[in-house]
Amino acid sequence: MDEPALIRSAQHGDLEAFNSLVLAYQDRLYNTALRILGDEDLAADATQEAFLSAFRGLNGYRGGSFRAWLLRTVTNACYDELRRRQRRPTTPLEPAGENEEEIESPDWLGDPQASPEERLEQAELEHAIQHCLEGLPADFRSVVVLADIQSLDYAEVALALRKPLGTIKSRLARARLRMRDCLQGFRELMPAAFRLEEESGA
Amino acid sequence: MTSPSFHDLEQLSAFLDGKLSREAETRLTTRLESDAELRTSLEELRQTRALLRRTPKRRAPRNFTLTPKMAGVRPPMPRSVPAFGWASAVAVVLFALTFLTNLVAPVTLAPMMAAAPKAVAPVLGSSASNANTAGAAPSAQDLTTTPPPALLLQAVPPATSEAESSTPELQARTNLQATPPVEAIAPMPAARPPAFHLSGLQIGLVALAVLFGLLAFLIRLTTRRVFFQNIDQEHKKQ
Repeated sequence: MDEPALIRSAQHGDLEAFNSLVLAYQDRLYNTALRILGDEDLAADATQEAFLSAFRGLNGYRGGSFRAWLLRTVTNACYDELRRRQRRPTTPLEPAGENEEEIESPDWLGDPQASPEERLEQAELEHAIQHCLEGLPADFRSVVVLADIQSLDYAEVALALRKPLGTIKSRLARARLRMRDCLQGFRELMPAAFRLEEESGA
Repeated sequence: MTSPSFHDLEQLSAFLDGKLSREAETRLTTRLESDAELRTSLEELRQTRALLRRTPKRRAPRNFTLTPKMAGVRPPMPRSVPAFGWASAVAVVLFALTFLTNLVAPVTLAPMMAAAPKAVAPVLGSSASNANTAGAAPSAQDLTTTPPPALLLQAVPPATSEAESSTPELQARTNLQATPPVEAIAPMPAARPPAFHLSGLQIGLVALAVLFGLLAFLIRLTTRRVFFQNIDQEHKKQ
């Protein structure tokens, strides 16, 4: 069944159809939540909450980009979590990432089929990006996560975050500049990744 | 050559994504040809975007599919559940009706009881004198013959009003009858049973109401349990 048909069935209360959509989008939503929140357990909770909220509010979807609509539910769930965290701050469970041992933690390894060098490089890159993302204000972070990590179009980001296009454009530029400044501090940690970009950019 | 302003950088960021108007894009391209610093900034932004796009993707740690319970879906109930529920409700209503008729009954009986105070008075007198002479609770026989307090309260006032206008001997008897019996009988639990006295029909109705209610509850509980167990098993298989 194609996506619009699944959405229509789900809007009529077909839970099986909705669960097919969940399976198709769960990785995307989970990764978005993980990058915004920086915590696996909280990201899983936010993803579950987002799907539940999406099912309940599915009749509010009136066409357009469904992934942007779904990503709105997950960013809302993340904002709720960030607000809760502001009210009662807790010690992060994941490595804060100031030393090598924490970066090499298996929790941070990506593709299990990659070679040890690639896995280490992926872990370093992921750690550096996550560290820099967490240094951004939440509004900038969500824009850069949706536009550059989830590869959403400006219009989709505007739909997901309910902000005008001009605001998205401006926030994305600021977020990229801050990420650039922050990532330059990790150049030593991930020489291979930067070397590739330098070659491709040349 | 000056360092790019934020407006320039914003333009460069949009230029990277192809989001500039054709006119703005032409202007920026011309500037890029002559401005090395602008080119460096563009390259840095391009690298940053490329790195962000390479962020490792994680797999979801579990499936986030919703169960009917989470989604608030209710399992279909067998027809017997509402049937037993209604039967229980009807039994409760019937019980309430019989109880109401019991409450109304003493009022309708009151004139008859008032008409025969003298018949009651000797009994009261004997129980009162027994209480006074023995200085203890009346015998089991007295309790069985003693009318309930509701009847006593109805029976006593006419007896006392009659006593006021009769002989001193009678008055002396009524002094014994009027006040002590109430005080003597009141503390005894056996002397106030009417609120808890249920007829066979009432007991039957209560039993039916409880039975039907319990059946409805158990069937509902079992149906829900079986329904969600099946769903969980399907969920695990997936």
